[in-house]
Amino acid sequence: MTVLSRLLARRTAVAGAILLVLVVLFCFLGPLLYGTDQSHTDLASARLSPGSGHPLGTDELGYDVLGRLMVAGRTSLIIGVLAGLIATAIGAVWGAVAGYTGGWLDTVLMRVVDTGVAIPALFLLLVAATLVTPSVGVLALLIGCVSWLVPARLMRAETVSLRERDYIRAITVLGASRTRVVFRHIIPNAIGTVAVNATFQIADAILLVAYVSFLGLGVPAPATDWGAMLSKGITYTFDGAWWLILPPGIAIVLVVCAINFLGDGLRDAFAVKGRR
Amino acid sequence: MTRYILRRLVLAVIVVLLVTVVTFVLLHLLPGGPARGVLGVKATQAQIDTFNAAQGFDKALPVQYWDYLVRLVHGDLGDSYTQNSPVTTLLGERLPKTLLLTVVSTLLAIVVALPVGVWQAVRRGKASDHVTTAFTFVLYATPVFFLSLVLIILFAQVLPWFPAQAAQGETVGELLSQPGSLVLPILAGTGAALAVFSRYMRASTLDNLAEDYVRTARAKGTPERTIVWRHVWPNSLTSVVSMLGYYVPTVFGGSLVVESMFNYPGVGLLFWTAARNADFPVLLGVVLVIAIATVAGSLLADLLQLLIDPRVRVKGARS
Repeated sequence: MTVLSRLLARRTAVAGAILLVLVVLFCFLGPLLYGTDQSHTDLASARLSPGSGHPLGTDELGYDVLGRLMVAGRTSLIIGVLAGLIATAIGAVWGAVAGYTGGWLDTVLMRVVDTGVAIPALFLLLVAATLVTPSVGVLALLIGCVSWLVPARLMRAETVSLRERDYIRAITVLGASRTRVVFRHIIPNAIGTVAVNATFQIADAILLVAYVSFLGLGVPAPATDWGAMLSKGITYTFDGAWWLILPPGIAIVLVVCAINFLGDGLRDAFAVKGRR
Repeated sequence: MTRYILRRLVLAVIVVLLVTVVTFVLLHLLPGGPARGVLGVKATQAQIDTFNAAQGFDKALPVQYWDYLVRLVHGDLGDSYTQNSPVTTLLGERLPKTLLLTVVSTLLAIVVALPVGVWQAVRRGKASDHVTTAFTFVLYATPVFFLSLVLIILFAQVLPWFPAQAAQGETVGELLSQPGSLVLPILAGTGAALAVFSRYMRASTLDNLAEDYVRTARAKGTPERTIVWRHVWPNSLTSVVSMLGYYVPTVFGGSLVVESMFNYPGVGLLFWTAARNADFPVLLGVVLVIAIATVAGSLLADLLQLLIDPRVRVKGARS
């Protein structure tokens, strides 16, 4: 059975994939069908509860919440996906180099990873956000740069175990070059693990984007993302303005769930035994 | 084995040192340096120079770093810029409260998650597994601040059972005198840990159930209950125990958020106030405590695994 057919046999993975497609359509095509003004504030119609004209009400500046949910989702998804891919790429190279080279370089590289794990990512992001003006690209890069540690460890473990396999030893003895071993044998064999981890990495990055924006370090207004929507809505929690909080919160949970479902399905389809 | 333990200890110290270097450099990279943060943007150059000279910030970075290390070794983390007391005193006041919050919620999570994980694994593919697994997935995908908000809306607003703000108090005892106000912060912390632990326990139990020794036991006619609780459970626990140590940074990260959501007077809140006021000694102190806890956690996890898993003992002795 191919990986795809095995993946399609998993109902949760298919459900996750469908949900993801729906969310992407909602965020990227939604604004074409449901046009709202997301750049001019309209204080006259601020904090309207859900009703006709505004299915999810309006926020404290008069933005339509449903429309805002779409615009914010684009930011969250783009940053999340980019950051997840950046983290995976850095981690994969780092781990492969450490695992394949071994020796003192391995020790040094992995101590750097240990150090990174010991420093809270939120602290690094906090400092970084005061140094640079956050934009979509900058945030993706920052979040990617603080979350490559898990893929690095994973890739190192995978590389070390592959390096010790008999067939790799055999071709090394037969005279295959190091580059050939790495590119033809180690990377293709580790790709399943890395691909599966990339999905979790994206899910985690979307959560991290939310955290960063929640702390007020996200993209500057009028741009927004789900985390920023949540953090703005908090002030009105006790006034009963649930429509400012539940939609972005539920959107985050749904997307992260969907990606994790897909990742779990992929892991089983690749028959990769890995984290989580 | 002694060599392995010594090696791990040395590596742990190196990692802590690296952490101090990174945090130190990062904090001095901030625009205008610490002086701007403390004195504000309106400070004159003369004021900044006086401040820098008084704090030793006019020396070269390596010298400052060395001074910092020397003071650190003597248990001196410097004085807070804004709160008129030594950082160690502040940390000493706040740490027990954060520990109360994190330890209670982690223990609660473990007590619930481990049996649930096993139960899910045993009933794999049945409706009850699907429902609980979906529940833990959702919980896992819920950011702590959103979970906190939902708890506040549900149990402080719709049903006014608990206050949305934690009790303020100098000591742990004062916090405990209003136990109701601790319920929501603890629940928020538990929820996050619960999702991680139960997912991990379910996976670990499933792996063990597929092992040869389980098949042998089944072939011998050992009752399923005995197989699960006598054979599989201890083995699955081993891997979860080793994960607990690595979970320390997540616990602290979570408490940073939980504390700011519920205004809980622990290290997390101290961190946010310090970050807002550019109170560098405090920031460095908090990050250092978290880093040491993380390194100690993973060290402890490795040593624990050495104790309970003979296979690691052999491998460790060899390396």
